[in-house]
Amino acid sequence: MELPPTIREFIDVLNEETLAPGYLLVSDGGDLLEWGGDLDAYNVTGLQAGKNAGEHIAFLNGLFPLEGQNMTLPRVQTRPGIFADIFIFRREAGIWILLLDATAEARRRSRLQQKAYDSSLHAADLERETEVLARVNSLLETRVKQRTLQLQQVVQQLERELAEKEQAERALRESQMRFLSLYDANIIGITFWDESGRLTEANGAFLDLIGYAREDLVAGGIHWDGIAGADEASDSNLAAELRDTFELRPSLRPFVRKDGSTVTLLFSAAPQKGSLRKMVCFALDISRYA
Amino acid sequence: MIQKKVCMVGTFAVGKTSLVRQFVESVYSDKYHTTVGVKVDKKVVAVGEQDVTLVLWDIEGAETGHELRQSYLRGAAGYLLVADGTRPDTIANAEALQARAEATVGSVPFLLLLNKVDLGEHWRVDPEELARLRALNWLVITTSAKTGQGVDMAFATLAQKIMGD
Repeated sequence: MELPPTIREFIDVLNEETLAPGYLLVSDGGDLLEWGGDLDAYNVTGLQAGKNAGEHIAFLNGLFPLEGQNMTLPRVQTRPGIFADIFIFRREAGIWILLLDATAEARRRSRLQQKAYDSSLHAADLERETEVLARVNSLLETRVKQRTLQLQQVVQQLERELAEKEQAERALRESQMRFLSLYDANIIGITFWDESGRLTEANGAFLDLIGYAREDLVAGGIHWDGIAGADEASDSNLAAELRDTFELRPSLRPFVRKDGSTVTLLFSAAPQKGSLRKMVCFALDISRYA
Repeated sequence: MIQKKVCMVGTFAVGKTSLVRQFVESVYSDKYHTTVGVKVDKKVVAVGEQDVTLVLWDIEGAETGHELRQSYLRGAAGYLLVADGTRPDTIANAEALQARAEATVGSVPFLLLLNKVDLGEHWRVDPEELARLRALNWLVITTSAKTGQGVDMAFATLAQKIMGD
């Protein structure tokens, strides 16, 4: 390019001021022949003619003999925070190594590159987090399915137990109804006793057999000791037997009626279900059927 | 003293600079600073009874072979391919970068470093892929620039290979 000498001179000064050029001239084998410029700025110091540049300057290590006619090493950090573009080219006098300041360009690139790479890393982080969340979600879904299955099994078990309970309650109600039918029919005397010997409940047939009224029963005035007659033949004491065993096989036993007369009844007793300290007793005056 | 140029090659943010800092200065920082261009460091290692100065070229990240500047690789006696074990794409990139490096400097010794092994829960190295690379006679070492795991061994192994075992 044809430029007026003044312009050429101005550009030279400008370059010298902004690019801080430094240079080295080495032999084909890399031995130092000549150097100059602002090499200190790039931490290139302690140079001696004849020394091998590749051994003395780290960023030139391994480069000699030079492959080809020229080489460029852009943005080499020669000292902390200082970058140089390094141009290496062969000429008649030897191999020239030119260092030009590239710090501003390196900083600009660093800002842009950092931003771009941070974004990429952030995207990679998000991708990883998404994968982790998907794994956790999958794990949770599996756990929920397992738990749901367990709950379904529990519900089925509860339904079975409820059905069994309802069936048992129905059977109990039927049993109670049958008993109440017998109780209310007054065909035989039925009575209940507590452990103290007090008569707590009795149907009309039993009250008739021992000659007491329902008011006597309600008032709590009928007690075992008062109605159990003495059995002179067997010398047994019905009250004591019942107190000890709460159970008596059917047998003829004397009873004292309210008016003081004695009546012999076919009598049996059994512990009341669910309460071993209470009895249900059955009595029948078989003399009426003789 | 013998000097050998060793290049650090790999995708961005795989930990090349951190590995060099851990090896040279025994320090580590969690903060990521991108490398622009190239930064040259030195460290002397003993290979047998001989001291060797490793001239470490920490080269800016490149994802493809084309992005890896050949002039940075010229004169390298060996290189460390670095991949991030938590980013499978960086392992795939390592193959392309190795091909580029070999085309530039020839069959010089190299190792594949699977870095960031300290991030165990995020480790995503496919065992089959690893087996395939080992079948190609790639020497693979897992490293952590953070804890130092495998770092000295990786550089020492490469130095030994460069010096002909």
